[in-house]
Amino acid sequence: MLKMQNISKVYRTDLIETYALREFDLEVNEGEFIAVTGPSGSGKTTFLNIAGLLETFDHGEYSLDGENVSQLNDYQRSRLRNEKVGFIFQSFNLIPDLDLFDNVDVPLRYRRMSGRARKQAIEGMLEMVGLASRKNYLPSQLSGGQQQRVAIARALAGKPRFLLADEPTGNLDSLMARQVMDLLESINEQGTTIVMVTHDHELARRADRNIQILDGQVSDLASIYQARTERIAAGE
Amino acid sequence: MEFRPILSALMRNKAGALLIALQIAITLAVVTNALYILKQRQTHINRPTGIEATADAFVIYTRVFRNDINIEQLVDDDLLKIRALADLQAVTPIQSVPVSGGGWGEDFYLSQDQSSDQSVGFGNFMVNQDGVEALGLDLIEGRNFSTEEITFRSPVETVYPRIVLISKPLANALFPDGDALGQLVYDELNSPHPTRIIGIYENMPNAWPNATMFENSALMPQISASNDVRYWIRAKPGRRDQLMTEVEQLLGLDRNRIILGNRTFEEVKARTYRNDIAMVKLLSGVVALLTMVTAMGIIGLAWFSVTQRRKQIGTRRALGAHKMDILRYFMIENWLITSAGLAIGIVLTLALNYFLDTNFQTGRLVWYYIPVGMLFLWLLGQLAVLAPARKAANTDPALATRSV
Ligand SMILES: Nc1ncnc2c1ncn2[C@@H]1O[C@H](COP(=O)(O)OP(=O)(O)O)[C@@H](O)[C@H]1O
Ligand SMILES: [Mg+2]
Repeated sequence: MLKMQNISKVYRTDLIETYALREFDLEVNEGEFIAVTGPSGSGKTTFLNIAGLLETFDHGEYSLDGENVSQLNDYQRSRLRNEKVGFIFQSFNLIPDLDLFDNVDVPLRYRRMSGRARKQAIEGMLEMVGLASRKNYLPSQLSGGQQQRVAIARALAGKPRFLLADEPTGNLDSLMARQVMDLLESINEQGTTIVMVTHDHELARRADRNIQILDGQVSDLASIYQARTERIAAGE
Repeated sequence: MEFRPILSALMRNKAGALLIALQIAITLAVVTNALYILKQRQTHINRPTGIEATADAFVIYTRVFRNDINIEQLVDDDLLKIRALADLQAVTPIQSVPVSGGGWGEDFYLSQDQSSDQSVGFGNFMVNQDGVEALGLDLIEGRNFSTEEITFRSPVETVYPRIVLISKPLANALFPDGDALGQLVYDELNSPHPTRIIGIYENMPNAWPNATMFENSALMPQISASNDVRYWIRAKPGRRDQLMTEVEQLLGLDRNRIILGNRTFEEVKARTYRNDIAMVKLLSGVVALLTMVTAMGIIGLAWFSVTQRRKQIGTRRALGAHKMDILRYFMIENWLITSAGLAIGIVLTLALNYFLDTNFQTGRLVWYYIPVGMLFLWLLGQLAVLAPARKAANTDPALATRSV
């Protein structure tokens, strides 16, 4: 589904070069639910941005769903984002001036879907996240957990194969965080591949696989840890 | 295609948009009305004069201050000397100047009959046989004066000469059937002195641009024997300014008179129309300024809203918006604001026009000024919003995850 080999990403300013990712290797399989952890500044968001085609990289190879994306232009990248990737953000990123219906509509319009198909998809998604009755509310009229559920509805409305979430529960209390996590799990069960960055180890443990990023690389410690979780999960 | 959500987002952020819409409404009202008035003034200023020599002619005003001078002799001498100048095309004495604002008004009566007082007013211009050429008039019927027909007219004389050339508009006013040539007209009721129309020229306005009879003029084969001696002089093409200096020096040698002034015909017109010209400049300035201020307002608002919505734009990019989609968003938003402004603007325009017409008799606005003005403001809006919209389109999609 996602395959990164030897990816490097450097941020250059006049004074300094920051290697946000260095020789980064990762493979994510179709249908997996991966939790990414790591200290602040280690490169988690950079990884997600590159994975979701929000940012380009300096070295290495990246193929998404079998397609090599290093040579794509801005137009093609936007289209791939729209068709294959769904995003969930820590601060929800709902558009404050649009009601829930129109918020979920945003990616669908960029796909030039017909009005009828859009309406059906939007109402179906709002139904799924339990907010169908509030489709004409503004984001500011909702709690954080509800807002994140709308954001999830928006991310999934276009039926992406791949869902990227950057600390989706970072701004939620633990009850709401668990509800969002439940939702993500059920989405994953229906076949969507999920990569989620989180600080919450309890939530991370619920994922299929844990990856730790340290200094812009997948840390070996993480693989050891992961191997252990897998053993525990297998009941050994 | 994405009108509705843009409109609903706009309706939730009305304040700034409303201000700009109002500004656009006012701009439409002021610009269309100003341009309309401006156009009227310009038409007024640029009415055809029929004077072909406009760019080559000037008038020199002199006054003889000794009473024992023989004016007839002096004029003959002047004409001889001026005719000897190489830059000269033609010269004629003249007692009043077309479009100058001041001249001789007279009336022609149509019959001797005491019971009929039908008369038509006109501006009287006394010239010699070279007047037609010096002014550059288009003689369309009849003939010009001959040298022998030119007489001197003393300042106290009121009787018209026996022959006259008149403008086509005056001919039509006197004889609507179009048979003016050869007809007789009279200087007063019961006059024993008929004057025959021997020629008709296409057009030459009289001295009063605001008179309804502006195009009624007549040339009389006379030279005024007064102490005010004036010449209308036409230079060879392009030689006007040189000839002006030459003539001034030439006449200045005469110790018995002073030169009161020396003015090109273009200056004469500019002085007469100075209020209209000032109005045209003022209105042009108002139009330019208002257009600029409105464009700046649009740019300012768009820039502000782009800056304010950076995260939202990044999010839209993350959700799959192409750069074009973002550009289009701001163009459509601007189009909606402008359209709302223009809708209010039409009402304002008509109201302002009604006010100006009832209070200052400016006339009713010609309808097409409104659609043309609207088109102009639509275009202005789209142009003004282009730079901010392009900045928005270039927003980094990573802002979706990076900004707080
Ligand atoms: N736009 C940027 N310019 C310069 N440095 C950046 C930029 N974005 C991220 N970085 C740096 O890259 C490193 C990785 O950042 P990030 O991927 O956001 O980490 P995380 O999400 O794990 O906290 C950090 O050192 C951060 O300061
Ligand atoms: Mg981060």
